[in-house]
Amino acid sequence: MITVAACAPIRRVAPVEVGQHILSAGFGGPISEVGRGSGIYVPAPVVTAGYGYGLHELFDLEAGLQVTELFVGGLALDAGVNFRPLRPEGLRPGLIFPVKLHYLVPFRGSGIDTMRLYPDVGATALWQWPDRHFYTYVGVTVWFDLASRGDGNDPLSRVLPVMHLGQTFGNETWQFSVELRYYTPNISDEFRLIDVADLGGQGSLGAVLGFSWALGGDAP
Amino acid sequence: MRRCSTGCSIGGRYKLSYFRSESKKVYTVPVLVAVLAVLQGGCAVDFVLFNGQHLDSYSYDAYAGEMLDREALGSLDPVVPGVIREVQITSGTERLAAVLLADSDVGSDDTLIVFFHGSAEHLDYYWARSRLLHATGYPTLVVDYRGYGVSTGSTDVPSLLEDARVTLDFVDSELGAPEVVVYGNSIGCLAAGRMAEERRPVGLILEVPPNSLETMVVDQFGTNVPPEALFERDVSVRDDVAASGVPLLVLAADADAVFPPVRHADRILAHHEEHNPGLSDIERVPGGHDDVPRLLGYDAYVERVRAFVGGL
Repeated sequence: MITVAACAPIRRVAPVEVGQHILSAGFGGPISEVGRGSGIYVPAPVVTAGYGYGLHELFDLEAGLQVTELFVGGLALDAGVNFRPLRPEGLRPGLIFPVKLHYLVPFRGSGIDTMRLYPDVGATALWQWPDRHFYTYVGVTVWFDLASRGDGNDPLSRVLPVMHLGQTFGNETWQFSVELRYYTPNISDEFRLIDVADLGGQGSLGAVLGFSWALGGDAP
Repeated sequence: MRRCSTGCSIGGRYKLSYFRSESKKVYTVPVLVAVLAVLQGGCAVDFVLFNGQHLDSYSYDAYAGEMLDREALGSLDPVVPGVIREVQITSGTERLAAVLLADSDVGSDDTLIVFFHGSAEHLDYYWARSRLLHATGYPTLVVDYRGYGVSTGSTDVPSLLEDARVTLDFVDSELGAPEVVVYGNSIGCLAAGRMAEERRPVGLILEVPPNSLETMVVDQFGTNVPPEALFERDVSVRDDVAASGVPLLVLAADADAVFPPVRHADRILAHHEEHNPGLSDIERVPGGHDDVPRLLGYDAYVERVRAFVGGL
């Protein structure tokens, strides 16, 4: 199923050089049961596309589109900046702090009532493998749900953390990533209609494959 | 290739090689598909709500497949010839199959129970339930939505509501405009609630109802995703029922894992009571989504429905 939280927290953890253009794509999301009671769980088929640009040694810009939602009937976009104060070196991890805004509007909706904005902030630590452009990374992104529900129920939570653990492979130009996620561990699964892979009845596990391609700029 | 109700299509027709071509002309193909999907509102996922199965004909008591509350048939008298009347109702370009269970002709002096069943299979699956409703002594009409049983087509949320509308139109035009009590079961409560708001029946019974599509979506994802981002439209049983002002009986299952009462039935009841004090009642059983009549006891269930309808 589609969820804006299935968007990639960071589309390219590898360093982005000044002037570089980054094209990226992602596939996957929360691991959900296919059909109620089937016992078969697969990652949600959420396809995302992204673009990034190396603006400064410490900053790169990033924007994305959730392609699947476009076909289901909505426009889901995100844009933001990644602050990279520290590059990985030896055992010392590099650090990335993304700040983003996600926008969702259904085509079938009725104006501002159905429009959603979700700001998010995060932190990721990454380690570079010796003599290779492989990176191991771990981090958390925290979403904030600003909208109020109109169904008489209290919000499950306005703070929506997504933890991620990933590994990238590739070179200075292209990067392939495999990422495991743990969505909203602070939210119980007891009210979900479609079951998800969880931990102790809390949150949802997810898996995402990613690809990014760097164009131009100075080689790292 | 899956074709959605709005007519757009994904995959199948266009090969991946189109996406690799350098030709601007063929690049327009996937772009055109995307633009068409957007312009048509996208392919909503309403199909996840419905699980209709096609039948060539109905078997009723003799149906060999899975039947909800089948054991209740053992406590009911055999069906007298002439009690079951199959009817056809036109809904747009589709034909809906419906069954009227009535001991005699229905007229304006009668009270008719119109049963909008849940998302599973077809009318035969709900046949024992339909017979229990008829056992209350009131004529009962049960309809298969498009894509269910002998009915043609395929359903989504807007067509579910349209099927309910034409069913009540049929009741007025072909059955002598009796007083109507609308009964919704599970996802059928989307139709029942909306018909209560639009048509003001004399009474409304909701069994294991969903509060709204919003509740289903938000509780699934944990975020306030608008239902319209996934479904053709939002439907709020809670708001429809409160706006209707009709007397309401809710049948809830406390261990319901599909629509837990604490998020669904209780919200509907509280909202209705807030807007229409003294017009609502609830019956609870300790079981799951399909357990209400069985755990209440079939005789007690029939008596509870009969008492509610008779008291209107």
